[in-house]
Amino acid sequence: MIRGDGEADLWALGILPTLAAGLLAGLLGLYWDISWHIDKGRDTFFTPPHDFIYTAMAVVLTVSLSGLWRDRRDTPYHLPAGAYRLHAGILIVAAGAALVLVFAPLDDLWHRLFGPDVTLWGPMHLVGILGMTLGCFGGVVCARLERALVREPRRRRLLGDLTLYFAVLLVGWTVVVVAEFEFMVPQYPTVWHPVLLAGLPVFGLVLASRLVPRRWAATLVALGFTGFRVAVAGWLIAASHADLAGASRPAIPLLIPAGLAVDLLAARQIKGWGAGLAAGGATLGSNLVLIDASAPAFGGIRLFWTAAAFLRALVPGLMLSALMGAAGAAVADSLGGGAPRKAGTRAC
Amino acid sequence: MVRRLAGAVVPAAAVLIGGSSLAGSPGPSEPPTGGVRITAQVTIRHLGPGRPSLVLVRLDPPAAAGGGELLLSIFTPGGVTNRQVLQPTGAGVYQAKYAFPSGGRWGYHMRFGPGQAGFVSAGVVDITPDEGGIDTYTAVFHSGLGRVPVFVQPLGYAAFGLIAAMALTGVSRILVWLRTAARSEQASRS
Repeated sequence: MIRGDGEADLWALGILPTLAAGLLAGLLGLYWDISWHIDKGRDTFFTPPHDFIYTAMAVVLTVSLSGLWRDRRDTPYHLPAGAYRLHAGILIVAAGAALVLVFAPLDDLWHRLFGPDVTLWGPMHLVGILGMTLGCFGGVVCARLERALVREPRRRRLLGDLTLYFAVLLVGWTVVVVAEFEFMVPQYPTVWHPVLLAGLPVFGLVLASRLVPRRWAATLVALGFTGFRVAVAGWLIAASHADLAGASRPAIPLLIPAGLAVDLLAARQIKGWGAGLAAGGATLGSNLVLIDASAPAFGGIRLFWTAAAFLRALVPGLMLSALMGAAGAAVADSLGGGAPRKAGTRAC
Repeated sequence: MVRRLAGAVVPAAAVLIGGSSLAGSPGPSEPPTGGVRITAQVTIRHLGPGRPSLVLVRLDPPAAAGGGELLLSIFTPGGVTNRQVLQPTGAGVYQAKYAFPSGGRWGYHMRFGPGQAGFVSAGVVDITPDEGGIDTYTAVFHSGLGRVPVFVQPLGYAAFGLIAAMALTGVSRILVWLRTAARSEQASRS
């Protein structure tokens, strides 16, 4: 019997649903913000997308802190801190949201120093992205630990699906890093696009394949990510008609082949780095074809990978994919994920 | 297992910090700074309706972009946008095919170089897309660093690297603790 079993869990306390909504709003708000920056500039700190993002993060931080206070269970997954026991997942979410909010004024200072023509990879933006990614990773940890703590089958199923949901957001945040390329306003060499696109999402896919109690978990995460990005595009189109967003919309990367690769290799009990390597290769190959096929012959907004950039990206991209695969597997292992399930077998 | 986890997290931190320092570094070679005036002579040769116009960009000095890429956007506000990254075909020379379905005043935006250390030029150009017509303009670039000392950007990236390393260390310690705690709980139950 786990101490605290039977007490209200984070879902019942309303903390997990609020975190799920807040972290989703943050991700949606960021794409809205980038579109706003490209086509409308940055006249003030209090633009509608900024207000949306920072309100969402303030809600996430408040709810996390309230969760740390209200969750009085004493379980192996609660970190001892003096007289208190802190939920490890909530602690990570709170740290991520705090990072975003603490650095918001510094981001404003950075814009005042360098002007509005800055890059998504500016140091303060990277701190914000790190904070949001940390928040989503904390969401995965929360859902996973809660699932380990409850006994009721329906609640366990719900928390398993919530792990998948947070994994979708986590993959979404790792892909945010290449948004400048997807919006076709890059400020760094093209070679970074395939390297980072191949490598970064692999962490979330491998993690999901080992933590989410569903068949084809990584593929479901990739599908969820694609659905989210389609919804973002729809939101940007609708908002631009109401003059609430810029006309720019990001290209949607293809991660479904990478998800399939991770799931199929899970059936063969392949190690994390091997699954990562295959997923990175699948992402590189499929997106090379997709980008080439969707680029207009001339004019318009042309996103494409040159042969030289692709070849330069191949080895570092695959190395990063293998590394992210190994990291995803190791983290899943520490969260009790263990060996991957076979894609065709039902999770127990 | 602790070793295995650390073995995964430490290289990830190294990649993150290394990547952030790479992102802060310039492109293929350092573009000239310190008062050098950088311009681009842009020539647009129109081939007629339904056909692409040939855009030729010549940077002066030719080594300004250090052999790196050039982003060129030519657009009508709320209308047609031509935007792509151009690869150099020679020293400071870039070529592309853009579409100009209508004439009149178009906006342009050009940039090369990484992040705030890049160089930017923006303005307007009059386009006359008749067959055989040629439009030219000279664009003047300004440094993205402006009046800010050069060391500020690397300092910002170093701060990010430090924060990222601290965050990764904190998360990995929590994960290691979770694993150890869960194992000892399992052992005590059995």
